[in-house]
Amino acid sequence: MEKIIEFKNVDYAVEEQKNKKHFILKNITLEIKKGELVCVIGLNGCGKSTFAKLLSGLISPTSGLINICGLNTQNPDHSYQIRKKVGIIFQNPDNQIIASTIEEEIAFGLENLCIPREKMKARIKSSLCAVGMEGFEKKLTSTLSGGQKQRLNIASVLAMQPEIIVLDEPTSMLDSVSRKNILDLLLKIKSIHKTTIVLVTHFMEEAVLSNKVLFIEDRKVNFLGNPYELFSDEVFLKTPSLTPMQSSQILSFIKSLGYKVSMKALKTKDCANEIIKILENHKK
Amino acid sequence: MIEARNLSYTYESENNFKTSAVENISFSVNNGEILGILGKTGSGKSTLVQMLNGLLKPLSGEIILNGKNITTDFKNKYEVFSKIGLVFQYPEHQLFESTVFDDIAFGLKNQGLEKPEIHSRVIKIANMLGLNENLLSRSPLSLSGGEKRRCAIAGVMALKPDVLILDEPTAGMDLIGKNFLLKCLLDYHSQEKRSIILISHSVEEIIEVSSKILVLDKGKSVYYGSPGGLFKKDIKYLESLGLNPAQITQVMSLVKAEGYDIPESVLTVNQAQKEILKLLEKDGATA
Ligand SMILES: Nc1ncnc2c1ncn2[C@@H]1O[C@H](COP(=O)(O)OP(=O)(O)OP(=O)(O)O)[C@@H](O)[C@H]1O
Ligand SMILES: Nc1ncnc2c1ncn2[C@@H]1O[C@H](COP(=O)(O)OP(=O)(O)O)[C@@H](O)[C@H]1O
Ligand SMILES: [Mg+2]
Ligand SMILES: [Mg+2]
Repeated sequence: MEKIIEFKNVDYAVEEQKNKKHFILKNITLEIKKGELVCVIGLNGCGKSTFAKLLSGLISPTSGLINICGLNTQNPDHSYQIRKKVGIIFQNPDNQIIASTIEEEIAFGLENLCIPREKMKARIKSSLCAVGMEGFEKKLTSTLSGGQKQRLNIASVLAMQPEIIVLDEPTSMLDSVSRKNILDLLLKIKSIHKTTIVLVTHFMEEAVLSNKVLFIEDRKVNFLGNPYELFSDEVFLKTPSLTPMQSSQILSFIKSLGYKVSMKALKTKDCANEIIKILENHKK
Repeated sequence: MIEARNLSYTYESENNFKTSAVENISFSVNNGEILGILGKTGSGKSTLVQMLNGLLKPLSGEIILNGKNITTDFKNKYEVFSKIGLVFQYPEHQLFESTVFDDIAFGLKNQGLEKPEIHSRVIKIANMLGLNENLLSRSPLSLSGGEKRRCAIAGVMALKPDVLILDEPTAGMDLIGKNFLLKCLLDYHSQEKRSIILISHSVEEIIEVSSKILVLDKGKSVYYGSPGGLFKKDIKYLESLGLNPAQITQVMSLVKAEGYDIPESVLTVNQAQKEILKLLEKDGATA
């Protein structure tokens, strides 16, 4: 698979006091391939949103290089192209909403892409439908609840049909059922359109569904790879800055009792089956 | 103690479009109690708590604070604000000073406290919430999402209101931060014997800390009672209310479905460990 995102020795620093640099991210080198779903995890303040903004070309690295679809994000000539290719959903849903009605809000992004008016209606309709807000076109954005705003932002980005979608904690204010719906939606978009998705999250049950997790700790990439590898690793399980899944907690408990357990049974069904297997063997 | 009697609220927009956001809700929170509010997004939680601290005027119904009707007696609006502290769903909405320190100190200054007292209270609360001291001189706008939230919570908690209301305070917090905050709330609560109202989407969290639970659906109260009682309900019904049980609860209910002797709803990993240990010990010693 072709690589679509590339970071080479990327630093991002801010000037805290005069001449005193404070590094937020340091020496990040990584690649993300087209069509992957990558979850970014790590403690509050570890640099996830900073990573998301770098990736969308909204901020530039203080040193190093970032290529998106082969385009260097630091080259101002590329910024329009990059904006077309990367859709970002910010952490605070309010920061993103400008228009007064929902229809206008979604149309706003489409106008920037010079999509003809006739085509807009259909795109607006289908993207609202995708996030479970069909028929909301004429509603005022100011009247939405927190979770509805988050879904509207996702719809606005979906309508633009970007190659990469970056979502910074898009489900933090959703109830668990709506949260699952959003994740199912992202998985569907990924499989239909081969969209690359970068999802910042604190929910490990979301991270386990990804192709890769990117775990940021201490300004650096601590791990980038298969989520099962990360969540079944005893060393990582003991890292305080990683939230273990409840499935891995119960499995590691059973393992500590001396039973042979597959630590990779992280999904709910797999975990239940693993426990049932152990209980059955035990009965014999 | 705070009591809500038959509160209702309807939003009216320019084109006379009406949304009934809260309908006929009643509850009471005694001193020393924690009320947890659950419900889907858009079910009316934020609207309800904004009425409690006087930000929205109820269409009908009453709010009684320590025996005084504060819905009719609006003369003491400032008093209401200082006795009922609300941490908003969006922390940005309450961060407007130029440094984090000033932001946390804002309410304390309004209460006319002395400078050294303000200073020590700000430092204490910031420490308690895990806000590093070198953040205090920065602009709140430069904080990360989780840091902003802690800052907003600190500003309200520093005031020690009689009723502390938090609207989804743990959204976007990492596990350490979440546990920290919940512990802070419990400590605060046991020390100060105040009332707390907590909105969250995390069923586990609400169960862990609440004395009572109120569940809203489309603006109406569909459950008001003990945390345990809620989980005697059918899982499908709970899902329809937006309340997915925690992963461990789902795992254990699948195991139970295989015929193992496990209680109806296992809510925490700890409880699950005990149940599994029991099953394994039943037939002789563990492996
Ligand atoms: N202008 C600045 N000056 C100093 N530090 C800054 C500045 N901007 C951001 N930071 C710090 O950089 C760190 C990373 O911020 P970032 O928003 O990327 O974190 P995050 O991982 O998204 O956290 P959260 O989970 O809380 O959203 C934070 O500790 C933040 O306070
Ligand atoms: N300012 C407003 N004007 C009109 N309707 C609103 C306004 N704020 C919220 N609503 C509507 O009221 C209902 C309840 O919203 P809210 O109290 O924010 O829910 P929750 O906090 O449970 O997510 C939703 O249908 C929402 O769209
Ligand atoms: Mg962030
Ligand atoms: Mg709300």
